[in-house]
Amino acid sequence: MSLDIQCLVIVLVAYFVLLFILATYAEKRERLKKSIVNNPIIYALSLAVYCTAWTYFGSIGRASTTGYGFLPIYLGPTIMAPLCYFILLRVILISKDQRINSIADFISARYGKSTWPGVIVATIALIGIIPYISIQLKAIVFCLDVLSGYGFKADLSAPIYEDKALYAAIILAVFTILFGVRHADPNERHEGLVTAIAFESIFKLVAFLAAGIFIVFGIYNGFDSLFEAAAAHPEAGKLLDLTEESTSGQSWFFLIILSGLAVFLLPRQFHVAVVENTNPAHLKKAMWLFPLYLLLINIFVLPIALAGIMHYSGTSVEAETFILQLPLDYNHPALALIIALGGISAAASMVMVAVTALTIMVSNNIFTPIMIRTKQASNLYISEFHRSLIGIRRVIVLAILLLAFGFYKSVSQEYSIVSIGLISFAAVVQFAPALIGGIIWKRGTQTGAVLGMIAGIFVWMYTLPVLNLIEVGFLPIEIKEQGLFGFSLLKPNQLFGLQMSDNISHAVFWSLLINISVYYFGSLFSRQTLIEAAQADYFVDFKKYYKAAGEYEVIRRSASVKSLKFLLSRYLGEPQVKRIFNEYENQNQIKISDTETASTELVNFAETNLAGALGAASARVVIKSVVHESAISFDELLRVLDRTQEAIIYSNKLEQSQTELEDATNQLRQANSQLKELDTLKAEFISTVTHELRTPITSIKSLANILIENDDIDTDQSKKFLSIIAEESDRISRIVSQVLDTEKAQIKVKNDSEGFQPLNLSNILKKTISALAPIAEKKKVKLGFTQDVEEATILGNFDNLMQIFINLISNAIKFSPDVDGRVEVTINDTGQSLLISIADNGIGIQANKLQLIFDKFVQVQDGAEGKPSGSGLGLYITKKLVEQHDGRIWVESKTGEGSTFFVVLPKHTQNAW
Amino acid sequence: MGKGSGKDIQYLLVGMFFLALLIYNYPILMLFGKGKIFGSLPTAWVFIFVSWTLFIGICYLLIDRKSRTR
Repeated sequence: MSLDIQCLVIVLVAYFVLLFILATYAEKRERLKKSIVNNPIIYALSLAVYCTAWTYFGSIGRASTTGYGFLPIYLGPTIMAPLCYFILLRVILISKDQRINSIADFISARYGKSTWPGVIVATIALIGIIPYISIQLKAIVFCLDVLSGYGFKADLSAPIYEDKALYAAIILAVFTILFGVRHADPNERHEGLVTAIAFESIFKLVAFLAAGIFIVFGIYNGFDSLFEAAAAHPEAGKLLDLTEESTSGQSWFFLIILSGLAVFLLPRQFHVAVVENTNPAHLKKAMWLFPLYLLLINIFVLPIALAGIMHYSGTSVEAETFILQLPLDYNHPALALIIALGGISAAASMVMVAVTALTIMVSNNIFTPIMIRTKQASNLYISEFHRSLIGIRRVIVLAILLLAFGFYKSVSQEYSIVSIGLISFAAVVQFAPALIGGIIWKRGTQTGAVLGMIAGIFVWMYTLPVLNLIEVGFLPIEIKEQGLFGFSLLKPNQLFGLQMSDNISHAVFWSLLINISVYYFGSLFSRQTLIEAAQADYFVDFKKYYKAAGEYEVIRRSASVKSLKFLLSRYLGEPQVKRIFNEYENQNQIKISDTETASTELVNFAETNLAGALGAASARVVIKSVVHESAISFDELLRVLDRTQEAIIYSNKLEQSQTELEDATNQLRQANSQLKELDTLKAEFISTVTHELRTPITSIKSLANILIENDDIDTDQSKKFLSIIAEESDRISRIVSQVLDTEKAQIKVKNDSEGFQPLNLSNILKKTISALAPIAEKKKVKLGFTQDVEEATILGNFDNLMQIFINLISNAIKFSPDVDGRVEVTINDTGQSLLISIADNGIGIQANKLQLIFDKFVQVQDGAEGKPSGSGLGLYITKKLVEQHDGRIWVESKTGEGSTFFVVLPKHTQNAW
Repeated sequence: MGKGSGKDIQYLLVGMFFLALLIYNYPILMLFGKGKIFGSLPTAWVFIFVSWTLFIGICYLLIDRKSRTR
């Protein structure tokens, strides 16, 4: 059963005319600002350009040998969908903001808007995708061949003008030129093209489902009966279970990784997902609609493969053509025609989008940089560049398709659709480190990215294309068997001795590992230029720029508006330039005159628009020719930083002085309260002292008066009075000298240890005690002395030490009770120092006074009379003198039981040094 | 589901990715690799397509519906 070739041609032409009408209609709506593409469902359908002839025919071919082995290619994008949402959202927002219109442009923009990354990406894409395009041509040809009843036999001997693939290539080139390269739009959006591929996505899905339903429910009685029949078939039965033998776990894993990355790294996928995106919010729907599409188109793959095997096992019918052969053999040529159209749709949409994306890349990232550099030298402004750009692009489209045709003629015949498709996937995943690293890692440098991609693609080339060329005999088999130059570690299928389940896993593993390592370490060991660092910051911290455009500019640029307009019109054409300037004026609510100097913002705006037509790197080069660029020089940057630094220092200082101020205030407050306290004490002291002085003065005065007024006083009487006067005068002089001592003590402490000499402390104590013995005797107090030291030498001043102990011991005697009073003086050796204690059994000191008694002017109540005795300076002076000798003094006491004063003085050791 | 913030949904989605990566790979996948279910349907085929549908449903809830209600 076959179809008439004329009928086939008519249907094909009609189908393409329909596509053309649809696309034209969409472009008309776009001009009327009533876009039909601005719709999440259309967007999701356009992503389904992922499903090519590979899905249509290749998957069935793969399923017929590996069972479930076709599935990882569709599970990968599904598993990635949740992550893809974030990655794509960011990539889309960045791309819209910087007018990025290809993956080459994206990577070139990220790594400093420089030419090299773009050239590398475009080259890798060309090498990787041309074979992929060639297998689509192959699929179109075999559709036609199967339908017209030839079976699929490649007729390589036929003259080239009879080759259907050539005509297919030319028709696709024309279509691509019509919708993909009609004009140089700064946004590089093609609503006609998107509409056409969205329609084709619906068509190929419907056709494939129709084929599946026919085979499962028409030929068999549903899934159950088909699977039952398959289970009984010797060949098909083996494919029902998922086993290590049919598809290894390793291969399965790497295919998932590969496809999960390729789904946004393939130039055509990047083009529909990012460049053609009209609204980032559409991603939300697309991220579940697209996996749903993949699910639907895969449900029937295994059943069709099983049915095909059951029908054609042992015949010459190839598994890839089962889907066409079965309806034909069951006498349904119309269905077969629709299925074939679906397959051609799948192939054609892939070719058109892929070629458009590649053309933009090649023209923006390879041709334009070359042209600008060569023409710039001779003629700054290339006249009519705009028109020549379109021309160049058309030539590129044709060239790419002819290259694909050439590849089809020479190589594609030998390989299945899937095997070539996977090689292409493995090539484009080499963009992954540079792209993903570029949006999450600021430190990633141009050097790292370029070297990583080059290293990756070389490993890819050696482990896949070279290996295949060896296998078909183009290259010597020794390379595979003995390794390159005889090094067994360099076998293309067992690099560094690693043997993996299949060549694809092996290639993906090594190429990505080496690519990532080179990117990572290359970045760490290289530096970024200023613009690279600025772009890196922009791509990674995109959010802050999105909210506050212009605030983070690090390069100041200016140009005359006139020259800017002139330059732009060369590349974009007069009307476009007018539109761009109008847009800028409206956005910023300003009017720009030609005589003005354009601001940094306007220059940047012009550059982003130009980047849409020329690519980021070229746009930068072109703009540079008229723009004065004073890279917000490091000076300026430093000045900004300095200002910040100054501010920080200033605020630190403020903070510091504030704390200092607080400290000072606290100290003042403390001093103030001390002064107040002192003032009260002084007042009390004065009243005490004057009281003390008045008593003897009064008695002296009255006795003196008696002596003056009474002449008849006898000698005995007057002698008695005079001795009282003398006593009282002594008392006054004692009080006065004590007050003077207080001042002296303070001065003495300051002069500290001058004139100290070694003294025997026990001698001093003995002298003190014997001097005080009469007073003790008079008061009937027992005065005891015990010493528990052999050597009691200290450094000190004899008079001062005497005064310390006289004060303490006389105090003790004074406070001892009248009956049975006892004062015990002891010296103890504590090793480094001597401990002297003076204990009495007197009235004791109240606990709340213990701390105070060594203060100036503080007096302890004389228990018996309830009034102070003495000046209140004795203990204060004593304490000062002890401190002068590096000693310490304290008191322990219990009211009613007595007090013990302790003095610790450091020992003087003669051989200390 | 609770009132998840944008960050929570991000974590959930990353979790979904790893979960899917785990169940769609060996050895977990091999648990469902052999045998028949619902008559003579292969277990592997049924498992993959049913769980795939569920996964798409969760993606819809997390990405599309959740963010629209916010």
